[in-house]
Amino acid sequence: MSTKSEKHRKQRANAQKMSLFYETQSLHAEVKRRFGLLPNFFNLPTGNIEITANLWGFALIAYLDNPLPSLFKERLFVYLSRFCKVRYCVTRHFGFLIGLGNVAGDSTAPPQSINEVMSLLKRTLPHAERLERIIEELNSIRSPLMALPESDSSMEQMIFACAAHVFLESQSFSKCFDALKKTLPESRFQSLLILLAFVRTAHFWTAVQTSLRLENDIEQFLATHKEVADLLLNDPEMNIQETSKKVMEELESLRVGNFSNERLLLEEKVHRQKQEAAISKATNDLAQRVTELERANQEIQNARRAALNLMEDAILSKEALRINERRIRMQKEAFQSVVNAGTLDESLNIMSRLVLEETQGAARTAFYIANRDYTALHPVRGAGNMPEAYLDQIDGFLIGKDSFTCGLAVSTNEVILTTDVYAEPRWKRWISVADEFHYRACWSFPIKSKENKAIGTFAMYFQSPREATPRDIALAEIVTQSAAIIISNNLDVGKRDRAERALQESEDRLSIAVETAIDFAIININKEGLVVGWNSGAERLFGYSASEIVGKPTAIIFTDEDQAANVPEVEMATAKVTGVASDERWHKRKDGSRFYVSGVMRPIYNPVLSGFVKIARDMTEQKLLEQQKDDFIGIASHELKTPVTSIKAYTEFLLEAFTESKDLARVELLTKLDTQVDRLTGLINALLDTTRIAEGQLLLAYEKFNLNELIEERMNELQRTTYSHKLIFSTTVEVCVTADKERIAQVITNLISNAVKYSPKGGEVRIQLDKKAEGVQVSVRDNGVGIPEDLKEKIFGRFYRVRNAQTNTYPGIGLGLYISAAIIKRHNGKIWVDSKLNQGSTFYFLLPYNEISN
Amino acid sequence: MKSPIETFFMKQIIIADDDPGVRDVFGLILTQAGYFVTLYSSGEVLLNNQFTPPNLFIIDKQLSGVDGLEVCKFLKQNQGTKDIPVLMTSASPNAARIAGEAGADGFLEKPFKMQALIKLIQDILRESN
Repeated sequence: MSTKSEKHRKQRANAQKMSLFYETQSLHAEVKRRFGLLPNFFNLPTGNIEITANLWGFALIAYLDNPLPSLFKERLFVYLSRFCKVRYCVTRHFGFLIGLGNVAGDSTAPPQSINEVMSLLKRTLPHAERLERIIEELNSIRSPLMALPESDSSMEQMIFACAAHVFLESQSFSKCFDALKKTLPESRFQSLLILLAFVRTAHFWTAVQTSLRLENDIEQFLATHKEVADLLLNDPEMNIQETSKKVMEELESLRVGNFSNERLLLEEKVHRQKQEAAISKATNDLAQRVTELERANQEIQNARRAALNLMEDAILSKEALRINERRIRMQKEAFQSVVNAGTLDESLNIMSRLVLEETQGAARTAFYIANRDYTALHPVRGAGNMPEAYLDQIDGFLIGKDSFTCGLAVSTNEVILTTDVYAEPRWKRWISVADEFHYRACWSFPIKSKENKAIGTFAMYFQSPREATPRDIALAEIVTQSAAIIISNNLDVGKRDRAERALQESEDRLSIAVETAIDFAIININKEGLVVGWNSGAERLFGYSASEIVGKPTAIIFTDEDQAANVPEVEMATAKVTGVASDERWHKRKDGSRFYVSGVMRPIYNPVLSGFVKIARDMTEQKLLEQQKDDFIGIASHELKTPVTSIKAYTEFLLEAFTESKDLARVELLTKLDTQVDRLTGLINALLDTTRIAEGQLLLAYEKFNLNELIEERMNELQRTTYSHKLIFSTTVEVCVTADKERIAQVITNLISNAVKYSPKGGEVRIQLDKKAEGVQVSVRDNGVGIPEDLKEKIFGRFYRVRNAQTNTYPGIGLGLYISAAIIKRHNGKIWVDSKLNQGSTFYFLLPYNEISN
Repeated sequence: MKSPIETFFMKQIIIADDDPGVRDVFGLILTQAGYFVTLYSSGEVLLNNQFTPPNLFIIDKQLSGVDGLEVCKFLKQNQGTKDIPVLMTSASPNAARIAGEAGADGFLEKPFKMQALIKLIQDILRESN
């Protein structure tokens, strides 16, 4: 019996277990369906399925099925969870918000970016004045909000702030509660409250369920996003609830005093004790505050002292800057004097003036230069301000180890400083000189050549004993460095004279060459654009003699239209900026007749821009020949088209007749004939286009059209002509342009048919359309024969064709790219190619945005 | 051969083109297509009003002697002919714009497809009715 009942009990327990298992399974399935994953909150190891089910029911009504917008709910959830010590809620709901799972269990709500949520995580909770302002603003809203605010809007921030205070039951609870009630429609307000209730429940539940862990997805995310992890796990707001609880407790104790009189009487003693305690606490607090204030005061004083030090530093560095500036200025002046071929003493004197200024007149100076065999020093007369009589005495001062100051300075290549001549035994020999010329301190600084060899000295003399400061040394260094440059430059004068003579000779030779170059006009122009040189070639070409034109503006040899269009100025500007200006254009002779000139202009630097030289050649004959050629092509192609018109019409007429009589053999022949006639027409059109381009008559008819459609249409048309190539068009944009549709179609056709033609083995031809910063770009890529580096520019020229390795040519007359390039250039666009030999080419063209309207 | 009555109801087209080959072709195609065609080798006849007003003129832009554009302008200014559509033809594709400016109702570039010519004529005649 007992075994039976035991068995029965076991069976029942098993059944219960099973049903529990299935209940758990189906509940978990449901939770997972809503969130997109199973949060541990609903899957606690110690969980009781009934409790979990009821929690789930609460979650459904208060949170998931709550009629507030999903994003609003989830963001509020995250925001409120920040104030919870347990970090489960804030991280889990952060996950929902960025797409790890569903936003508020709503699979249709789009997740937010990490950055969008970051600002929510960084937002501080407004208190005191800031909160007052928010409440005031909410209260000033006339009618309840019809729609809940956008994510991160100021309205959202205000509502979240108030909701948080209500949620945390802070001191401002009732004010915030009233403000929210006024701001939101009644039903929304209730929805908000129930959501707050659920979040509180959730927080409480997470706090008491110690086995609750973060899910794997969130842990992985935190491991890879350090900044977010730091924000989520170390949020400064997370302790707020505890703090506020303490504050509340204290407040509570104070509030007791406001209770009814009876209670006050009854609890008088307790009350007094509490008050006394409060007073004593307040006194303690006060004492502490005083200490803190004193400390703060001390810190302020320290800071002020530091600030004063800084200011002092700033003043000093400003002074240093000023000194430096003056030194550089003087140095520049000295070098300028050298450049202007000033004498040695003039240039050195500028440096000595600098020394005088910086020592406030205390120092006297002298410069000495070693003789050729480095045995003695000679003063540079006129440089420095030591009296002539002194320089006479010192002239020929010996250089050597036994010598002193200047002599020793040159010999050892070192600075020799005598603070006081009387205190220096080695001065004994010359002490009478020092006495005679009233100096006690004497400093000698070697002047070193580029090869670091002393070539002389710079000496400073003072009336009273004086120790050199680092500033003095630095000043002397500048003087000696400058002096070295000045002196070596001066020594080079002899060399310079020889160079000048050589230059003169070569100039003479050049001028003979210039004069005898009668086929070339060689014109020298000054910076202002006036003619300063005019060779015999120029006389012959332009008809002006040199005496007639020198001093006149160079503009007079330009045509009136070019003068009006500032062509002469543009030419000089181009030469100046790019180093060369070359072009071909009509010019005007003295008699007013025009002739075609090919000219090159270059700037002349001497070393600054001093003018320009223009070399010009008469190209009229060549130009006329070219013109004739172009005219001929134009007329010829026009005339060719007339008979082709007849041939084509007859062909089609016959084609129709034979089609009707079902004579298929003849139909085939005539179809071939018709194709060839079309080819012929294409060639004639290419010749015509070339002529138009050469004559500048390529006219465009602008219209607005869809470029995607045009490319597709052209591609489909051309796909019919090949089986071995696959034409692919890919783009992510839809572009309308305003351009000459026919001409752009012509370019696209040309690029695609070239891609097909030059990839004889077949393969893919990829056409791509992109929007770039400068305009709309179309590219056509093939895997064909490619173009050698040196030919990349040439292929856009007239009659050029790429040949393959066996120097076989490809069919066609080589005008397609030339015409395409001209069409694109007329649209102010760009056309270019990227290519690798035997790997294929990509042709690009770009139409600028100013030519198009989207 | 068509009967006089049939001929009477046929649409009349006057063509001026100085190239005999092209004239021949126009005659062949358009007669075949059911039009009554009159061919001139220059524009002079048209300028001198020596013709029966047709339903359509087809005029080449580059006529020898006088420019086809001038002929077109003349016809469009003349009371008796100003409402008759004019189709201009030319070997130069960018003549379409100037033909339009001269008052032409249509433009066809040479060489052309036979079907394109017939369709254009049909369209112009339908519109002018």
